Amino acid sequence: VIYLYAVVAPAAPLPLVDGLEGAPAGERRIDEFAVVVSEHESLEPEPTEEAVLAHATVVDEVFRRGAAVLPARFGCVFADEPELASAVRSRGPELRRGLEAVRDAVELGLCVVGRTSPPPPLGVDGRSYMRRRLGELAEDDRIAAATEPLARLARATRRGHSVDGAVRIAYLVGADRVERFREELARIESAAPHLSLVCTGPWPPYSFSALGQEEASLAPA
Amino acid sequence: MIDQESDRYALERQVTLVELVDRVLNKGVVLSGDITLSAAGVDLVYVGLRVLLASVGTLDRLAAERTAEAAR
Repeated sequence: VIYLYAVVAPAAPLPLVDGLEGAPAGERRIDEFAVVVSEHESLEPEPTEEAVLAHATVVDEVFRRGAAVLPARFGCVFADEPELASAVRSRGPELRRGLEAVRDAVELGLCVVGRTSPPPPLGVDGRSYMRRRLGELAEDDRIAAATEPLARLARATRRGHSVDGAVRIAYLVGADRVERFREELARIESAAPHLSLVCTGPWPPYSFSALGQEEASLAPA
Repeated sequence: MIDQESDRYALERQVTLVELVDRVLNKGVVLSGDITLSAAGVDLVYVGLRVLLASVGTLDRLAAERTAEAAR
């Protein structure tokens, strides 16, 4: 079977890197695209820490070459090359647009909580739920206002929450704007002592690789 | 002070691991219909992000207080 790590715009040769279960990762051309894959007698990918790190390491190596890359989600397995090729071809136009959108950009992650936010409730009665939820909504507004300058520096932004309610934001930032982004972030940190922020990355553009439904929100720079 | 910096570094590493795992398992392009993962199968240490970030906030506050004290 064939395990998929990423779809990329063809670029310099891939350095030698091990993928899942130590299998070497390699590159195949499919029309205008290249795919980074490893071959296995059989494989049922389990998301152990080792396997997740192996997947991420291959994607990182590919990303470091500087060419546009769409990371694959963990666990994409194909029976053989024809099946993989037909999957790529059937999504050709979306992949082309996706690669164009992330070209020369990196993903930066921001995790934020308000320092005054209430601790998670022990039980769930209606009243404490509503209070807590109102508190979260107000906190989200404050966080959105405080981080607005970062969104303006980004090509695109994705917002979400962790299961325990921390705000998580992913920014797609042009490589030439990463420095400005970090400066702006430092300014926000010192101006907003009521927020706890941790910035992660640069990541390959994992959060900006979903095809189809989310493309409409990819605003131009 | 050095301890606080290394504590913050350790916390940031944990946040990074959570962020990495979430990206690899939940984001990214899906080209095949037979991804068979369920969140229940993930036996990784998922530390609560909120708790981690709150700890970062506490460290920053302590650092700021010490700086203020030193300036007095």
